[in-house]
Amino acid sequence: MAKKDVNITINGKEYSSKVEPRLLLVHFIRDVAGLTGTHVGCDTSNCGACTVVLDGKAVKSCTVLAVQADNKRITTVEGLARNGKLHPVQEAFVDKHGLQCGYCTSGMLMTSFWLLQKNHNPTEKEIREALSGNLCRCTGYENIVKAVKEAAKEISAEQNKDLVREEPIEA
Amino acid sequence: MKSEEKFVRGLGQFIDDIKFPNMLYMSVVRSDYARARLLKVKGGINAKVFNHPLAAVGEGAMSGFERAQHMVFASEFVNYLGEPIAAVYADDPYKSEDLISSVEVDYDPLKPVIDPEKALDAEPIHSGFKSNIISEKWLGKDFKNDSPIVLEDSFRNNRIVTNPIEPRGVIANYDGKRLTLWIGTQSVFSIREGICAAMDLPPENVHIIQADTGGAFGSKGGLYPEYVMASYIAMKEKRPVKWIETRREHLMASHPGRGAMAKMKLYADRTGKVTGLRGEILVDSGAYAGGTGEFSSRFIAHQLTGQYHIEQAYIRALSVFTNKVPQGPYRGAGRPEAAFFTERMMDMLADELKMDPFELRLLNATEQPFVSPTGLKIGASKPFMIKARKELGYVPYEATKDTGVAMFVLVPAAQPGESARVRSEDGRIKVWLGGNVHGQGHEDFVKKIINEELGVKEELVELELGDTDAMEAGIGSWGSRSAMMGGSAVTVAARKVRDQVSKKFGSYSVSKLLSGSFDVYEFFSYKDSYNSFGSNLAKVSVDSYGRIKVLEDRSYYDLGRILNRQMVRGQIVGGNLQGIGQTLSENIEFDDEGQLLTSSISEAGLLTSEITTKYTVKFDETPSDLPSGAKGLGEAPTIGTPSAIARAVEVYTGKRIRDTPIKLS
Amino acid sequence: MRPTEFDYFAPGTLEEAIGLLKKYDDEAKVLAGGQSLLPLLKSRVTSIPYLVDIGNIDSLTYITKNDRALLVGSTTKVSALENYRNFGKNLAILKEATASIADPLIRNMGTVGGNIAHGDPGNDLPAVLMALDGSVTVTGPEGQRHVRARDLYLDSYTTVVKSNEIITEVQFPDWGTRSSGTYIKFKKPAGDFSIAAIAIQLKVNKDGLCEKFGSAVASVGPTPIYLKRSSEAMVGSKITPMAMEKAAEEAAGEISPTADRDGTVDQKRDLVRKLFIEGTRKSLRKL
Repeated sequence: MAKKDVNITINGKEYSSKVEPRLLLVHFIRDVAGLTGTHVGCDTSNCGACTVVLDGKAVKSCTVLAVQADNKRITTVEGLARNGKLHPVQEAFVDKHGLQCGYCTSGMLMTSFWLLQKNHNPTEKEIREALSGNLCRCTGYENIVKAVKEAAKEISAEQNKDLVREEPIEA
Repeated sequence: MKSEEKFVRGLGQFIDDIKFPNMLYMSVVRSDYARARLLKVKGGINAKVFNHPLAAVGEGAMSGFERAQHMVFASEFVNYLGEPIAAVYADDPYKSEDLISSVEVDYDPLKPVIDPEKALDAEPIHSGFKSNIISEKWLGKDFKNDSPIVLEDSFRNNRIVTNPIEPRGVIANYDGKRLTLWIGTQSVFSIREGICAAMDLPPENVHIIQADTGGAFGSKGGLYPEYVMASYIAMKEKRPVKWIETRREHLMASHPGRGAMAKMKLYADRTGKVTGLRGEILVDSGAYAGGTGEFSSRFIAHQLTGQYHIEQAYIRALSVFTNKVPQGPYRGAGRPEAAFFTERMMDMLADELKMDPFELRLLNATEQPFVSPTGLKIGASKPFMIKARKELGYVPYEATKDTGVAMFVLVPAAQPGESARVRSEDGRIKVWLGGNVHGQGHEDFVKKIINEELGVKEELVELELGDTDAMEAGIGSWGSRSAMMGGSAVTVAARKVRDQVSKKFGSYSVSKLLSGSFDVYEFFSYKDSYNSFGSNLAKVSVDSYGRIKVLEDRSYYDLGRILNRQMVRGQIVGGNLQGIGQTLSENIEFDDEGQLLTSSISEAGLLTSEITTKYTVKFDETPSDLPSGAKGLGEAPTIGTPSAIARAVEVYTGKRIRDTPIKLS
Repeated sequence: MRPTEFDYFAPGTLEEAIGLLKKYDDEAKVLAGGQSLLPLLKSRVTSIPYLVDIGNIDSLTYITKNDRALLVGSTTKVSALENYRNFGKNLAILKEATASIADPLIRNMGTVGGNIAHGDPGNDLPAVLMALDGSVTVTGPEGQRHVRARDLYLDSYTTVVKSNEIITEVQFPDWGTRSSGTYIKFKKPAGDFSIAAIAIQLKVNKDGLCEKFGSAVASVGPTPIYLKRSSEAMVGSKITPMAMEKAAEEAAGEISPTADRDGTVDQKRDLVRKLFIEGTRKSLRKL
């Protein structure tokens, strides 16, 4: 099978490679770009450990082909911090103990990051709905929800549009 | 960097994140049948090339059988769906997976034994056995009892899968002398013991290094065939070999927990005083000896007297073979089952006598320490229950409408203690624990203990991941033992470090400690049980379709000294949701042919963030007399929750609840 | 879990896509968002030699309205439809149905056309489209044709769309004034799949008589099922509790569920009966 050239921008950096069409985006991110913060948990598009933001929208990168993401922009968990400073959503997960084993965390963060981009002041219900495609086996979700609320507060308080950034939001 | 910060930055190094040059990727060819004779296996590494029985290591593992041992590869027969038959490998994981279909396997399918009750009378699944009974033990003493009230009922807790979000995985490498395994695990020492036995290597030639471990809940403590296969291939090829479990493999072939049934008979007088308990516990051990299946039935039987003063008890504990993956520990591991069976009977008695369920429990509580006929050692439960009634906010009126309570005993795996090492070097303190962290926040209690004992700022203290080269011995992180046993080992080791500093310098100070090089390894030995009490209250609603909503789950536990409140609440709420999952949705189901019906993590019933139960967590903080002051914690929230919910649903619907998950038609 | 090998094409135009499908015929399959197809490929339940990705054909991504229907280009993401702001009361059902598909992350990648074309009897939009008596435009080497949703599904994962054709547009009819509807997804205890789901759309005249009624169900048969008899039974008279009960009985008989771990055949019939009544009541309240 003919390999395809793909060019994907991850966290602002371009990665070009010739890949098998069957290569999943999550494996491109982990193995080609070497960014292992994005995890694989379930193989069946249930757990969301592999969540990344693709052209402004949170998607499950285990259910996207790398070739589908050709010429697109991706943000992964490694792209949240700026100049070493944690993004408010990362801060809040640490502060509110929104993680235990840390494995689902990157997916949780990316979905939360996406949610807070489109909705700066989500209700608890909206947070829980947004996270319904991300499974956590450790926390019972309570502290994750608290963390997202906390991050929302932080983001609104800072009124810093720079923090809410990068990809435009579509309808 | 604190581990939480590392994880939010995506900088964790879980097993699949570790990569070596020249690495091979292994895939496993597994049985398509629950039971079959293998007519032909051609290709890959298979039983003809290499085989070895798997040693029983880790939590609750027992092996009394020479026969029916789980082998690395099936040879003549396969006995469960997903049983390994061969291993293939390539230098790319995609190609490795392609190779699975290159192995030719011919089966002669046989009728599998799936239901544990039917297994009792079915033809033995292993030749050379008289029956499918793998173990039978009687606990307590036979008794005569002519009490006026005799109640009988039967219960079942279905098997459920541990399902940490990170699946299992391993990397093996061999340098010509030493075999090194990187692995997500609860116990590097159990893995070493198992690998040494399987590969016939002395301990000094096997090095186990823990990777960041993305949850375990019981499934990462023992030896699995894939770890041995990877070791074999690494030694054969002299290249690093990685194997990462798929979720489907996890659902089929990682050891599930629960899978226990009970027939219970309770004797009582008309005041509600329980006078005797008979029971039969039946555990679905799965296809082979060596897991927890053998031990599990007697462990459940041991706990059946609960928080109650019951003077007569006689319990038959049975474990049977079935054509399913061997049973293993899942958070709670026998404790939730015991609580469910006992508490369901206590509720039945309350209904029979039209008594308030809490009053009935209080009436049967003990005011003195008590050793039950099944050998369960407890302290005075009555004072605990009185406090629990208040702390749980128990209202008798609500208990007739939508509320259930459950009392339980947490039996931590206290024995034989645990190890720790504390080292001062380059101005920092490094700590190792014999039981390995996989999400429970050991780092926080280690920092706190070191700070208290040695005065060192928490940011200068690091908890290292497990490494067999770093310590002489260690047990494991399971059975609610880490803060009580691991924490005690750290405490004692820290005190010894302090003594070393004082001895060297004539007095102790933090700067003296940090300026020098000190190193203490300590095995904190403990040979008794250290049981504690817990209680849950659940409130539910049930809609017209029979859908259950757990509105509230309140916990009140005797936890001893609390080392980190946020962490403790996190553990409890997370465990509560696992308890809710067991009760409402989690299940592993097979059809009569032994084919898996629950083939994704969602089908297996993992609940999502849309569950909006309100959690209330309270605890008794009277310290234990152990050096850490802690008592057991980790499993508590999974023990009382199912029983409390079952009762709440029972009073809400008027339907007797006997099984988990609950199915209201 | 990783897919077997395949060849991949990402045509920029519809014509190219059809050309590729024509060339590879049965060996090719359309990839839209991939949210149903990729899990199948990953589990190796199926393998497909040629994938034709229509995700780069910009002309297939749109939401517009004409006086009769909401027209949705087939590669429009489910989340884009979910966030569409002008459904009004007449098409409120679409908001509910789209929001109940899988989870938000899958909706960000999955497409409207894919949800309809895949033929999974548990998918949500087919029942809605059937209830509304909507249709799809199918484009192939011979040009375009329209297929009524109620005629689209032949069996599980089998539709009347040929292997060299693509669903290019989905038409959700607007039933006009005094119409509304609802989608109720009765989910399994965990996860996003339904045990049964019902789509109901109704329209009453000035006197409160039922002028039009459409209902369809998912997950209780090899295909989504248009509840023809029960829908027709509702038309022409007042929507009374008795009429609902009667039609609901009819609905329970029109489905062909199988017994599984989620329930017996009778339990599922009973469930659809209840959902029919609840859905009808809910739709009425929205008028």
